[in-house]
Amino acid sequence: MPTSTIYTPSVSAVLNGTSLTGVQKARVATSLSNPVARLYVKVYPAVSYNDGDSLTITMGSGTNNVLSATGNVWQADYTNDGPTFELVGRGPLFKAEKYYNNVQGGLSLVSLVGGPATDEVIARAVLTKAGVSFTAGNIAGTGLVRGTLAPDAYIWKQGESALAYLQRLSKASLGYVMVETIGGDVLRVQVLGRSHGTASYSLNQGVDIFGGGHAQMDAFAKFSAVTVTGFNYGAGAVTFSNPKPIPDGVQAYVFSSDMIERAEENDPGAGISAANVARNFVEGEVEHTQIRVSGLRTPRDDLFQVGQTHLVDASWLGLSNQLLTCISVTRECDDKWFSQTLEYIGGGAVIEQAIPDGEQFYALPYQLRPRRLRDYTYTYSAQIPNLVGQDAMVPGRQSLPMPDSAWKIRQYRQWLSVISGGVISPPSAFVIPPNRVNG
Amino acid sequence: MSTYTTTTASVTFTAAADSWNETFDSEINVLAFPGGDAVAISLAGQRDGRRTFKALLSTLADYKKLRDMRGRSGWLQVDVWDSVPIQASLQRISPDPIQVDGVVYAQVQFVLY
Repeated sequence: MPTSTIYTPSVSAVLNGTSLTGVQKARVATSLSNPVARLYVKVYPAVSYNDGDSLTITMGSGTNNVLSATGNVWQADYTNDGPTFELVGRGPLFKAEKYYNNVQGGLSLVSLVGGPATDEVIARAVLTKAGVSFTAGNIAGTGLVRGTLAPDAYIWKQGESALAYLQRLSKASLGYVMVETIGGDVLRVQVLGRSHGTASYSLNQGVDIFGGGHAQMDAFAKFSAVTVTGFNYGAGAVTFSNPKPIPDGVQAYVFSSDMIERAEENDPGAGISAANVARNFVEGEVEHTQIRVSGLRTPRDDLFQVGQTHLVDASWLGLSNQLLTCISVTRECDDKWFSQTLEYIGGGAVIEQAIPDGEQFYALPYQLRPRRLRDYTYTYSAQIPNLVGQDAMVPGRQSLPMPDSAWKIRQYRQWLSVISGGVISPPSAFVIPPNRVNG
Repeated sequence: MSTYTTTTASVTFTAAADSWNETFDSEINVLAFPGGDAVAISLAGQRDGRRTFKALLSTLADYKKLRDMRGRSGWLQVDVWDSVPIQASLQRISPDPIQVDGVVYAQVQFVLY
């Protein structure tokens, strides 16, 4: 007899403080590439709601039926198949996604924070402006003062959303990114792209991994040289390359952000330098063969979260006790199963520090040369839509959909049927022989 | 005698022993983990019962009344089998041709809950 594990799926939701009855299924998707959590609750009969109502989802498979998402309702979907009714919500950072700066000419650091400031202070000011609630201590950063040399680069542009500005700031912040916790807190933490030496959880082939997973060992994105460019003061952008010069015949990985104000660490003035970004952020990302895993689905209901390190042992996926960083989690529960579908990146040397208890991420304090970080923005997830969040049941490789065929099958029509009242009229200049009209 | 009652109507009939079938089902799904012998068993919680039997209705009018009670929540009590009425919905009714004495035999299926 095979060994078996019993799972008892459970899902519930609370709308504006009131438990919903008739919840049929729920899904929560979170990822590094899209920090705004996406919440879906299918419930019948339909419930009344108001835009912006608070929504929490709790689900699990019997062992850990825990809070899985916190957000606000912004959409309701009705279908007449069934019929069905679905509430669609977003996490707290949605406010930052929807808040657009419309100040003519943009908003300078002077207007925003009174002058040059650290990236964490700038981030807090942007969140406040967007109406996002946060705890100041949760918004961390590099501690480097910005905007002294190149204040123009830090202008919050007219027509730019708060989240877009924060993500632009992250690109020059050694991996400090905005994230949401499952409990609904907003954090700015340094996400360590490389896995920790200690895993929060382990997953094993044949034990707790369903089919449908896909792993890639990708050396296409491996580079032995990097070039980081920054603000252009008029005589070309500040730049730093390693090695310098780039050897003949070698392609360098190019990383750019105009918020990088200096070339070298010992250049005069304040602000982040291209050398700092290259050595402590970009190089660690691109110097090794990248491991990417998608569609790894498990019925376990442990609280898997983005940023955690997991140990995956699955020979069919080419993973032998591989430490991987979780970059996407989709939790879902329907009338049959509870499951979590995970995406990972990995490769390169691990980071030795253990994750403190209760921490989703380990926020590394800024050092002159901290461990190298992964530029996750380079992963192919930027090119391939994240289908995991859309439909976790899609098996196998998830790639771009094929374009529609250009061929249209048109029913063959008798010529005489065309001229005797068909939709397509013959050209007026075309003369039909009388004997053909009569057959 | 047996009865089926909804908020709008009630029909009395005789439940025949032939074709009697009562099935209680549950939603249990089994999925294997590739590369191993272990399986995951998901107990989804859905447990439903269905009862199928031949009902003898004394008039065509009774048959038509029962037919019109499909898909409504009601109470079913089959003589001898049920000591008290149980909640049920008539899902399907399939009559035989009408008998010369005017009675109607019909196969009925109830969902029990």
